[in-house]
Amino acid sequence: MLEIILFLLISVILPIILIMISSFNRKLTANSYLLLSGLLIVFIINYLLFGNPVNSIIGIASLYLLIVASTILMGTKGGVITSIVILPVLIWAEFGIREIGYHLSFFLFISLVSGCLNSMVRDKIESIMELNMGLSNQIKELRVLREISAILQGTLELDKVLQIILSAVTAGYGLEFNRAILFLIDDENENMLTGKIGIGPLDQQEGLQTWQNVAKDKINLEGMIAVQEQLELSDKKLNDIIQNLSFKLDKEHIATRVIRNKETYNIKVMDPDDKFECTLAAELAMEAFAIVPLIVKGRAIGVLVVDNIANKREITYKSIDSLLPFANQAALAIQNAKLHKLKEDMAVKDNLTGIYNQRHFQTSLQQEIEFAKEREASLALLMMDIDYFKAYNDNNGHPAGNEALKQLSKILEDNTRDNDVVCRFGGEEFAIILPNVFSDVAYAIAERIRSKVADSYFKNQETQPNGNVTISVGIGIFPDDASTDRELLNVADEALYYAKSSGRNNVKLYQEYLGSIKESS
Amino acid sequence: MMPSNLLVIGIFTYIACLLYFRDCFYSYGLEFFAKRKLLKIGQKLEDLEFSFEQIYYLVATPSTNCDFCKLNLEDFIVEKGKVSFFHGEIYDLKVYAQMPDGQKKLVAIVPKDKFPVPILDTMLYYNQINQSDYEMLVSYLFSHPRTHRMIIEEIRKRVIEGN
Repeated sequence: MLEIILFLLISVILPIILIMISSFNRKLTANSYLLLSGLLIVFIINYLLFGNPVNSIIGIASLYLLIVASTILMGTKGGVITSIVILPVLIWAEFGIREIGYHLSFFLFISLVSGCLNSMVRDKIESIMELNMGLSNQIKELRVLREISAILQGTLELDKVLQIILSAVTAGYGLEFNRAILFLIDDENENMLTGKIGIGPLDQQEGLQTWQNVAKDKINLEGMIAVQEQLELSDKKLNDIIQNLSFKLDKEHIATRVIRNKETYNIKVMDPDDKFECTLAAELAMEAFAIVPLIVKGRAIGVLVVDNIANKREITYKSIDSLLPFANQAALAIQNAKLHKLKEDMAVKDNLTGIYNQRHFQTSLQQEIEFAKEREASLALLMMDIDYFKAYNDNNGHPAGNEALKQLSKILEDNTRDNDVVCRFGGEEFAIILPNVFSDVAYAIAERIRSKVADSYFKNQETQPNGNVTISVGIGIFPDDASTDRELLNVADEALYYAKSSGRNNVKLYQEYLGSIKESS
Repeated sequence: MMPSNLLVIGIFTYIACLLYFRDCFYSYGLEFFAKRKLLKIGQKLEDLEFSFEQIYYLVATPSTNCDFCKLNLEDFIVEKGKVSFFHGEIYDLKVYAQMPDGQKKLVAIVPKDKFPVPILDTMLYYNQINQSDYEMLVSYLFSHPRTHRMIIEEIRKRVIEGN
């Protein structure tokens, strides 16, 4: 009785222990061996406690049951192993060779059939798992594409568009690439591919840290895009490198091939003879990457490069297939943003010189005066005019006059600060708004511009009455000389006329003009 | 009782115990080994931050189906996908919603092989744990009821409120 209880206890406790041991090891085959060994231990303990079980029909049936149970646990292999283990039992049961062969054949036959059924069930489960994953991935891609399309509709700013696209490509909610870099063909030089923006870490450590923060804050895709704006500083290093990268498209390298053939490439080993690959390896520690073209209306406008620098996961063709709809969407969004920018520029910029037009000047002057009022700051308005420009046009023709206007605009832009507003006021008149300056600084800037113009060579300038192309400049200061934009424009204009009447090629402040009136009266 | 009869009983008992106790004792075992490992590396379960970015939704987020708004957390059910009948290892979580009309609707799938636990990746990178420890800790976190509750909360929020 004690032996029976002991045997039943072992049959209950042994699987529990083995289940607990199997939790330490997640390898399915090893765990299957473990569970099979438990089943064989039950058989052996039964043999040791109660003797050979095969001396009755139930005993023989129990061996067949054991084989079936083994194949359920481990397939055909399990049945064969069990057959080998119970072979001595058949021998010790004093079966004849023929009977042993007969049973052994049946054992193997059952193992085979049962094992096949087992593997069919397993294959079915695996194919369902694979199908589930495939469908889930497709659903996820569609979802991300939909979300990105919705977010992209909210902006037409090129930088923002680029950032949204790259965030979608690199976020875990998106396509999960560790790093994405965008290169666009230059608008001005179609033979040049320039790095525009990149998102991702510079090295593996940085990537892991960023990912840890994303997990900690439970950031979703929209949040990720917002975070990327804040991360701009940390990505600055990467972007500094990227924005200094440019490749000539008349030289043969992988980017040229991608743009020419409009094909995607998955680079697993870097080619030391390829300039593009070498540069990415040297500057960004890339070891493998995928590169896809950005195509709009059959024309490649740039390339998107992705890699997995942090987790070193291999880039598969499946993941590249997922990337392609994003690349197409990205190309379209980039093109739209560029067209929008062009349209915006056309509305506020002068067609000939490329600097701001009078409409923008008037809006900016109002705004700057409002800002100055709020901050109790000052600002200066420079009005300037080319001396004897009519003579220049008459002597050299209007095309040369236009070239002179362009050259002057360039000088004005090159000699002012980023936040100064340089405009073509009309004809040969120009205006510059200088925020946050007093009269002495405004005078110094105006004088520098005047002397730069006088020192620059303009085509056929010898035909001018004073031998070269010069400008006269009048300066009005807010709030010292005027309290509104209209008043400021008037005082600067009066200062300009004073400069003209004072012999041209000079700079005059409105206060000087007032002084001259007092003197004459 | 004949030894052959007992062998039949023993085999059935063994297989039945494997099927019946699989989930419960696999979790105990996993918890035992994982907690020891966590203690050794000076971490707690709560420290293993994971991301929700690999939840695959099978309904729109937010959904236009108003019935979702009526659902409480208890109306969401997590079903563990197992690789085999005899092994406790989970390969995915399927989250169902028990809809007011009695229908059980599959709302989201969370695959384990894409379950992101960045802190463990970092530890693996710095050799603080090995690949086997990594897999064990991910399995522990993935099978823990706290994780399931957090996933359900996130899914409910996304389905009802969107982002």
